[in-house]
Amino acid sequence: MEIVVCIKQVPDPGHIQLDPKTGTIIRGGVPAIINTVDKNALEAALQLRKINGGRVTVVSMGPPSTVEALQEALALGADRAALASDRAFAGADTLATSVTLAALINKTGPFDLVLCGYSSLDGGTAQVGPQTAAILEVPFFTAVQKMEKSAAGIQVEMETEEGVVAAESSLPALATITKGMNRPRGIRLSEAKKAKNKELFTYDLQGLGLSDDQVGEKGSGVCMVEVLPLPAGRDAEIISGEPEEIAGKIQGEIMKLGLQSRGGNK
Amino acid sequence: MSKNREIWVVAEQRQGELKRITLELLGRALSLAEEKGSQVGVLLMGKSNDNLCRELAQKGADRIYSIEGDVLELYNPELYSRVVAGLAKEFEPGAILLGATVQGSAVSSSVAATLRTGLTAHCCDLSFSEEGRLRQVVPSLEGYYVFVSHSYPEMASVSPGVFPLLPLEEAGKGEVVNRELSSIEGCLEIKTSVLSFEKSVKDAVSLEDAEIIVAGGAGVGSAGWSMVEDLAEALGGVVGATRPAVDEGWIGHERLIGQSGKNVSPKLFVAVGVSGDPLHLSGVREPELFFAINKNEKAAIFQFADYGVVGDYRKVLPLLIEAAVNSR
Ligand SMILES: Cc1cc2nc3c(=O)[nH]c(=O)nc-3n(C[C@H](O)[C@H](O)[C@H](O)COP(=O)(O)OP(=O)(O)OC[C@H]3O[C@@H](n4cnc5c(N)ncnc54)[C@H](O)[C@@H]3O)c2cc1C
Ligand SMILES: Cc1cc2nc3c(=O)[nH]c(=O)nc-3n(C[C@H](O)[C@H](O)[C@H](O)COP(=O)(O)OP(=O)(O)OC[C@H]3O[C@@H](n4cnc5c(N)ncnc54)[C@H](O)[C@@H]3O)c2cc1C
Repeated sequence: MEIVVCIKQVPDPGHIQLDPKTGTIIRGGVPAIINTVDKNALEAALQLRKINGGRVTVVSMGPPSTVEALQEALALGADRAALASDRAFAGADTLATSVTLAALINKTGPFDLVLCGYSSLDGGTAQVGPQTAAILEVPFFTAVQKMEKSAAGIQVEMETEEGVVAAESSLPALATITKGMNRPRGIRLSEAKKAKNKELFTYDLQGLGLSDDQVGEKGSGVCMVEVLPLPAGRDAEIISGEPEEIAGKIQGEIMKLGLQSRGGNK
Repeated sequence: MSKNREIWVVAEQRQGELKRITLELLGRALSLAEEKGSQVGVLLMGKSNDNLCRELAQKGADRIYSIEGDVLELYNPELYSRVVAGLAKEFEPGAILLGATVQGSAVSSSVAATLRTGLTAHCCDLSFSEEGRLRQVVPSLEGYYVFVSHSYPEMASVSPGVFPLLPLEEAGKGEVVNRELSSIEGCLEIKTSVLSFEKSVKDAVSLEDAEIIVAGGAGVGSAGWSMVEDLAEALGGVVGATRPAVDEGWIGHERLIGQSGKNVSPKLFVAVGVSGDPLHLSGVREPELFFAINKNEKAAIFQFADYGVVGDYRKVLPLLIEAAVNSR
């Protein structure tokens, strides 16, 4: 099985800070990590490889420093890696990101399965997986919590708000993975040692055979035109005292609302 | 140019019932269309659509594109996307709105990429600019981002709970346009088959309807989570959650409140161990009474609540549960 895993490098959410004066995100100096659920996608790929044989290729679009994320994925057990990096890719929306990723995936050769995370920790749109599938013209599944190779190709369980949908398709196909799928492994020393000898390709705009109006800001379908301020808060009155007093005060305020409880349910 | 093109809503149904998000979108689409002098089309896929077509017409849809088939009974991402993309190519709507649900975000993404048009996720507001462009508003850490599309159709997925439900209009005389699945581009070459659907247990009161919500955050921890549930029960409300709580699996994803989850408009909102991040609070719409319990006096949540308790929730909640039970 030829499996491709898309991994995104994102700023570590625990380290993101806002400029107290301007209220904007401070972009510099935030450590970068692999988007956490992409590690579940990688783990799923490694497990499929173990059962069915084959090869796992990790791909990413990002600035040159994204090689660190790819190297980490190689150390975790991926067989090879490919990076799309070019100034022209900057400012991409999900459409331009997906066009670039699809070109990169095609560049790595024929594939059976592409795996993505369900959504990223920064943009978080959950659009890139299904958009990449549409551009690659392969069937797709999102929010997959269970997956196995089947006679027809691949069989999955998708989480939806109302329940679980089980479905099947032929290969090649694409699936976006949720955290419930598995528990990603940590780096093992024996694997990490091998990583240095693995292939890591880098492609720029030309290398992918794309033109600059297909990628980055120019190739995007949406643009941000304005940032509106967040609403002002109500500035809470702090209730202090013994826990009993606090509970009594809160209950008193709730009673004043005069709500009809609609029957408890957890 | 696209002044009179229809505004479309892609309906979501489960087992012959429209999902609430579809009606929320229909309401907003109707007011947007009125502003623009255009009409609203609803795209409906299902096994047999007669009843839902009638309901949508009554609720004001001008045109209902109805596609029926046994294979459309259950959500099939590839097939549903092909149907929407195929019809969009044929009828060229000016805008397409979907719910920011698992299904809506998958279908909208696939369709937008097929049509090579822009798509905005998790909108919390939609309006037209003076130039007639759809302003697609999305909460972010630094404020509300406003996106516009470069091309048509302008596409957006909208978070559940953002737009209010409209009262039923009896006067509707929407036209039903039936289309055979086999006549839609690409719908005969589908590689995906749906095997089964297992419904999860449904809650008596949904988050969007709830008047009382107790939301738990990362500060609660798995060991204390049941206290949040007990408080919700004692108050006669339901439990909501922040992303970390959902990611940790303390509660299901359908309880997520915020940018990537649901928007809620309860009368009473109690936040426990929640820091007050804008991407969570953007989903909490104007509660009449808002309490926050957090051990960090500097937590942002205290800027937004009416009343705050600074301290460990484990000390306060048991007494609060008791007080609530006693006053029932
Ligand atoms: C708050 C915010 C809101 C935004 N809203 C929109 C919007 O509504 N519409 C829009 O078009 N753009 C939007 N963007 C821009 C968007 O985030 C970027 O286009 C980004 O490059 C990809 O989208 P994502 O992070 O949302 O990915 P998601 O779709 O959430 O990512 C899902 C998966 O796709 C894969 N993936 C995503 N990006 C890459 C990559 N660079 N390399 C390898 N794999 C990848 C990973 O497997 C990832 O887990 C928004 C950005 C921000 C910060
Ligand atoms: C694109 C995007 C979309 C997102 N969408 C959503 C969304 O829809 N919904 C959402 O919730 N988040 C969303 N997030 C995540 C969001 O940015 C925050 O990370 C999240 O809301 C924080 O959750 P929290 O308050 O539970 O956790 P934390 O920020 O970790 O806060 C925990 C709080 O608990 C307090 N605490 C700890 N122990 C105790 C105790 N014993 N007693 C009392 N208090 C205690 C701490 O002081 C702290 O303030 C999104 C992020 C991105 C980038």
